[in-house]
Amino acid sequence: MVSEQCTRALALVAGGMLFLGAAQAAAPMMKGQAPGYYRMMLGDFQVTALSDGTVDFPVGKLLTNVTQAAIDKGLARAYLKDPVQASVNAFLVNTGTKLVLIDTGTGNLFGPTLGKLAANLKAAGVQPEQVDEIYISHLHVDHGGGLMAGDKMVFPNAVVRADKHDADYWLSQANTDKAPKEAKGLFEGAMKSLNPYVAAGKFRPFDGNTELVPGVRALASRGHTPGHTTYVVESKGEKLALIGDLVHVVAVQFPDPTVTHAGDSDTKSAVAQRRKTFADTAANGYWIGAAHIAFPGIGHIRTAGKGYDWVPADYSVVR
Amino acid sequence: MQLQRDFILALAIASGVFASTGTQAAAPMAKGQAPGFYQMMLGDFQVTALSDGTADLAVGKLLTHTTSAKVAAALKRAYLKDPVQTSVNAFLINTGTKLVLVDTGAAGLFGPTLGNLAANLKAAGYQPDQIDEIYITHMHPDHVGGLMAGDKMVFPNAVVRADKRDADFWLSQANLDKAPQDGKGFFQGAMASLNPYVAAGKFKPFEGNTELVPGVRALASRGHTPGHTTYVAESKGEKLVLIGDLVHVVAVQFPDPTVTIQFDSNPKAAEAQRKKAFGDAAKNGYWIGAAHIAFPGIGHIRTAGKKGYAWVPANYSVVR
Repeated sequence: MVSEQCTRALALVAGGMLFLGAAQAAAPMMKGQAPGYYRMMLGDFQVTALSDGTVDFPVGKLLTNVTQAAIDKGLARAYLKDPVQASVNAFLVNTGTKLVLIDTGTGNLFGPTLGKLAANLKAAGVQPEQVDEIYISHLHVDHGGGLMAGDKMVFPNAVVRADKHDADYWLSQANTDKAPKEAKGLFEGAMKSLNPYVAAGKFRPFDGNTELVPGVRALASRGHTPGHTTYVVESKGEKLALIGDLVHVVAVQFPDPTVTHAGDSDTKSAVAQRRKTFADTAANGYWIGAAHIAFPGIGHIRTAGKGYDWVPADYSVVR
Repeated sequence: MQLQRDFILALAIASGVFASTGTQAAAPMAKGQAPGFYQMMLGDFQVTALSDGTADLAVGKLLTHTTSAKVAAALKRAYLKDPVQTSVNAFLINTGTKLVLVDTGAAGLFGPTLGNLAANLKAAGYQPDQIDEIYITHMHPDHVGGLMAGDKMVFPNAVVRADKRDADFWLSQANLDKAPQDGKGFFQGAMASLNPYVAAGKFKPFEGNTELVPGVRALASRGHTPGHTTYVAESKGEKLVLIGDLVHVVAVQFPDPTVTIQFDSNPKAAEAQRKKAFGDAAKNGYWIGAAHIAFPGIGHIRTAGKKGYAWVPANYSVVR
């Protein structure tokens, strides 16, 4: 009897000790990251950067008009290695009366590490049905893909707007037919994403510089694609220019804005637009938001030697 | 009658449509920010930066060994305005066998915008009672405050470690007594936060450079406080140096590391430690984590100009 109690007590002690030890040791390594949204006020407006996720950019293959040595140097200076985990960002602007989404991420068109936009929008407290207007910087799949989830419109109450030059180019069956095989996917992706909105009478293209809602306007920045557009947001004297794909790799294209991207439709115009934007921003000191600068992709630009520096937003909490 | 009823129905439907456009307009402006954690792998270890929140730092008043014109110019270059919303970060290291927390945030000792560490730790998937070891860079309230929530130990299963010189200085009743009125709070905050762990036999001070658990060691970097300590985490050839308060204002102290801050116990030694840490990190290219660099406060350092440095924040990456 005594022995039985003793055994039981020992078992309890041992069990308890084992349990305690196990609870404190070997926590699993976590995957993923915190919900990908970042808010800031811009005058009376609120801007929320939304992460669609990240994707590995093979920088050496993607960038053109540059030497491998210059790429290596730029990446090393930024403590990066090729491939670089690159962000895909979109931006929500709450003007107080309208919810405007600029770009939509990839949906399921660009692999499993992307397509998180709708989840992060919801994490930020906004339902896709609430979005009033969607402005697309250009119709590449990592910007328009998030409009659809399979055959369902993700933003059923939104009007979608983009420059007519991009719509005419990417939604053209003739262009798809004559595109080389490896490029057909870009056209097909654009059509798959936009055509349901076109069919529903929800797509309203514009042509060049256009006031869209009070405080948000389109500014043509054609080159990366035929209708690439920058969206300028202004409230109470504060200004944010959402530059889409005017830059892809900070570490290389800020020191040297003449470096281009293999996906540029017109590299010369793309370079001219990048230089113009960097110079104007550095001179005037307004905010920049970019689709492929490290999340949240919001910050400022300043001159640095013959090139530029990216100054990311200092982490701040909206109070 | 029927007509009238139909009319009312039509009105109701119409107003329903109206209501549905109503839900689309005027979404409220949201407060706050996403949960404040950021994780990265360091060899076989996982490091998670944890935000305790942000606090407004009146840097023009607080920085010393500089001029207000220089501070203003440096802030402008970084597109910042005084006061600067400044991060308070702590770091969790999962070595695979131990969960080590470096610093604990301010809890309620530094105002309502801070004290979010435990919430962000939980958001990252950990419970405070899982923490095995806590290493304190120094005993200022924004680093030790989070040890306690009122009169409860937040980390009941942890051993707390810090350099003996900081413990001897900040936990001394004699020092508290002789401190000026506006300096007493620092001592009282340290005591309120540490003494319960001391009483429970859970505080184990060390002296200077010490291996603490495999892959994590203390490196004396005294100056900001008498026992200020840097913690070095290393795994599979990757290295992260958690420098605590060796820097407070990136925009000013990176271009000019000689700029000091009022909170420095020994500004000369603090300056020397900052220069040494920046120089070594720039030369050897390892990761840096800092308590007051913009969240997540993880990145690298490179030289910039003859005497200055640039902060290179971590490229946002997702652990896969």
